[in-house]
Amino acid sequence: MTPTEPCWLRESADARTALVGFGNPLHGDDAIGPLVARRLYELLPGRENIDLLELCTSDFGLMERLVGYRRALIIDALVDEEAEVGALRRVDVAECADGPSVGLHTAGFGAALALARMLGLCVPVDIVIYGVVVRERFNFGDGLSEELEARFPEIVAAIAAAEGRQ
Amino acid sequence: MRRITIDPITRLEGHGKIVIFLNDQGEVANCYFQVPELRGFERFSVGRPVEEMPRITTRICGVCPEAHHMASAKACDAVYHADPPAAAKKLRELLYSCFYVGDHTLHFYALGGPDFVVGPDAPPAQRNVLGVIQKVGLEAGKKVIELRKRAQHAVSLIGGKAIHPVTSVPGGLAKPLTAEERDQILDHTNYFVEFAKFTLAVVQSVVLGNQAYVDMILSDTYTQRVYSMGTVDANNKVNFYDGMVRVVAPDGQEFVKFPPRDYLSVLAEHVEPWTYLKFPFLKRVGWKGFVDGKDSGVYRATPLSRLNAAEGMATPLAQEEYERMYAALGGKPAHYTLATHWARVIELMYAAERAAELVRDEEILSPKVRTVPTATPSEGVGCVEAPRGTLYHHYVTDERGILRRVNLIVGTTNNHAPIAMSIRQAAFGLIKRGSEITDGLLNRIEMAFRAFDPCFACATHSLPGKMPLEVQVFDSDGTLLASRKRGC
Repeated sequence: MTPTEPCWLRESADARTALVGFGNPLHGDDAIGPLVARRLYELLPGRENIDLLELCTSDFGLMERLVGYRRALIIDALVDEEAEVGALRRVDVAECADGPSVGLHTAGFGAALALARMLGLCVPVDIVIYGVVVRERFNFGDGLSEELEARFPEIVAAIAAAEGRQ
Repeated sequence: MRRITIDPITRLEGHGKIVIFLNDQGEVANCYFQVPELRGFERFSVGRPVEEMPRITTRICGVCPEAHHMASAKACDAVYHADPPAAAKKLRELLYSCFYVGDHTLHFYALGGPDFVVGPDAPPAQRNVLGVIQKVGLEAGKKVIELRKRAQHAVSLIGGKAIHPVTSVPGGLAKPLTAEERDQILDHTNYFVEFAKFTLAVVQSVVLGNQAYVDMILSDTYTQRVYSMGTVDANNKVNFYDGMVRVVAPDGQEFVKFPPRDYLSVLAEHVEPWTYLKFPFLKRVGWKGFVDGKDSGVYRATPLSRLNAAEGMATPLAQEEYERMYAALGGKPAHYTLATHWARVIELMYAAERAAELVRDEEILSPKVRTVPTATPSEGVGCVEAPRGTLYHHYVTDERGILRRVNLIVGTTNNHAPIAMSIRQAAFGLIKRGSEITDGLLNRIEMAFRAFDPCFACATHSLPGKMPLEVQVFDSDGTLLASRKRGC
């Protein structure tokens, strides 16, 4: 199932997992989130309980899209000049409050999530974020850079292996 | 000479850098605002069928894709010489009004509001949407979430999708609206109007009820007398979807009023060596540097400038608040940068009322929502008022409708020069000899541009939220004295 609407626009999304590919599919290596998420959707077990969400929106918009899900698995581009391109980092959601440069920045995702919880919204308790290191040189165009494309299979395999054990 | 850099400017969509240089006496010697140039969307578009643009251009920005969808659709109408039926125009404007309600709400409560509701000197960890809701109450937070949900639902009913609408096509819309969908949107618009009243009350009590905030809004540090741009209807009232672009001089006199297709005869772009992003200015006045006044071609395209450029609001409650604002600010036009937040909430009310009007128009249920193009495509300009400024899409195609040339002027690009000037003015006004460079002080400098609700995702053609902005202060020896850098 690949819904195009937020889960709160549907009848019920209880006990489902949101597999989020966060990024712009037309923006060079920023497309890594949606591309990895698409591939993972084909590989992960229990697909009947997973919704694939390709999101290119604000962090507040991301929070809104997660309302109603039990679990969220988010794949995003990550800028880290000290790491090699394609390196995978599992990011603690707590880092999104005021931590270093994680993809889901701008004042944001941490505060938006805290707000949702303060208001009693049903946002996932279990949120896992995978950041894929890219270089900050996004230009419009479809397709990944050669160096990231070369790492794509192992990135997918690493996340699939980790998540397959969940 | 010392240098100050702020990194990142929080609650800004996109990426940029403020660098402040201090002299030997510890006073501001110079200040630069830089954003990285990531243009390429125009080039990426060339060679594609023009009718793909309303769907592709929503990917320019994750914050205001609806604005690009509308400007692009209007440009396609023009390229194909296909004037949409009245129902299609009304439905597009209804969608757009609902989008505006959600977008302006997010800015007030999550981006601009924290400075006033929580306070400019509050600890950074509290100066966010969480702090705002803690101050104005949990019920307010629930209203914000409910409002956003309803706005997105309304957009999805007309646009086919909640974030990146897809239904606008050359000559109109791909689908009509059903009566059942209309009824749902009608209920949403009633909520929008009540929410706008609530938010205006918050502005009155929390912001304008605090004399320190009022003094700050009216201070010279945040005042900039430049030209004002905005789209107006046939009665010179504010309109977001269609009309003529009107520019008024700093004294309020009409300077020019033109159909959007003539934008190239009115605007030109200045280039500076320290940034790749260009600075649009009024061609007839000319570029005189980063200075305000009637002899400088710098203009603003913001909520406040839209109100300045118009002779009023087309809906009653927004008009009441419009009059209240200008009475409080000492007349029209107003040049107080921070009053832009107030103007934005007035626009929120206008959008809510306009949506409530349009949804009650029986014509929106007409099945005739498209004029099928029959003419040979050629060239067209589409223009709407994006929340962050006047947005132009300009396409040139061959006779098959394949794009040969694309030019975009996005909302924030219009404001590049006034943003740079505003930051510079705030830096000069706030950093004095011997000043301690505190977080609160740097935040007050950030406020000078946050009022513009800048989206450098658009201006630099990059994704919002991916690349934050930094502020650094350097001394005369080049030593970094202070910086701001927050992730996420």
